[in-house]
Amino acid sequence: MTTSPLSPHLQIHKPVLTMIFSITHRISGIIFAISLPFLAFWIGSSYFAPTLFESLSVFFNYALIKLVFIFWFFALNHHLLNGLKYFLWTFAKGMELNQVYLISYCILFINLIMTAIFSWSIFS
Amino acid sequence: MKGSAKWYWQRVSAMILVPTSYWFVFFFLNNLESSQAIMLNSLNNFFVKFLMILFFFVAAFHGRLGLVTIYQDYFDSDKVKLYSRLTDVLLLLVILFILPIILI
Repeated sequence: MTTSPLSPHLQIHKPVLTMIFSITHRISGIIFAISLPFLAFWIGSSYFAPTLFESLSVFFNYALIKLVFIFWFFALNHHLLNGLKYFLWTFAKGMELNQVYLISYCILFINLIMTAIFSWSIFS
Repeated sequence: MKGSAKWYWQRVSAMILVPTSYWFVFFFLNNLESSQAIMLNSLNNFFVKFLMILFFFVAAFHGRLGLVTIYQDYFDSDKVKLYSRLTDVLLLLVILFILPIILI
């Protein structure tokens, strides 16, 4: 297995924008990975456990759980939009510091608008 | 898998996940309030089944690559092995839960 050196502890980094977007990329990825079995079970159970599906749907429609889904979408969308930035970096595009800052703020702005639309949609 | 292969497949799977994730979000919003009968009806379509299984398979694969990379950055190799196996179990569940929709 790996013998590569471990990353230094997060708290020793000065919180700069690139570092914040990097660590939130990882955190949002973890959040979405954890949500996957639940979502797969919800969809699959409509076929193999119909009564459980109905109960789960009732649970998913509680206002508090809908708020969790809004946070879930915000995390997914952050991971997705920020991932597009890394895809640009793969081709060595958008790597100047001013471009990095501009793209990062755009990611946050677009995500806030899309999350607002998602919130409106889930509550209407 | 070699580091460079991981890096490459992480990006290939990401490109598949960009459209399929947004498609999944639309499906999720459209069916959040669906009864079991309506949900089955929504799933009873070749393209829906195909996209759904594609999304969950590729997301599980992409998630495994990402999670193991995180483990390798922060934990020693014994823990990396243990956490990778636990992740495999979690993602195997994803596959087991979603595959039965083929039978609808």
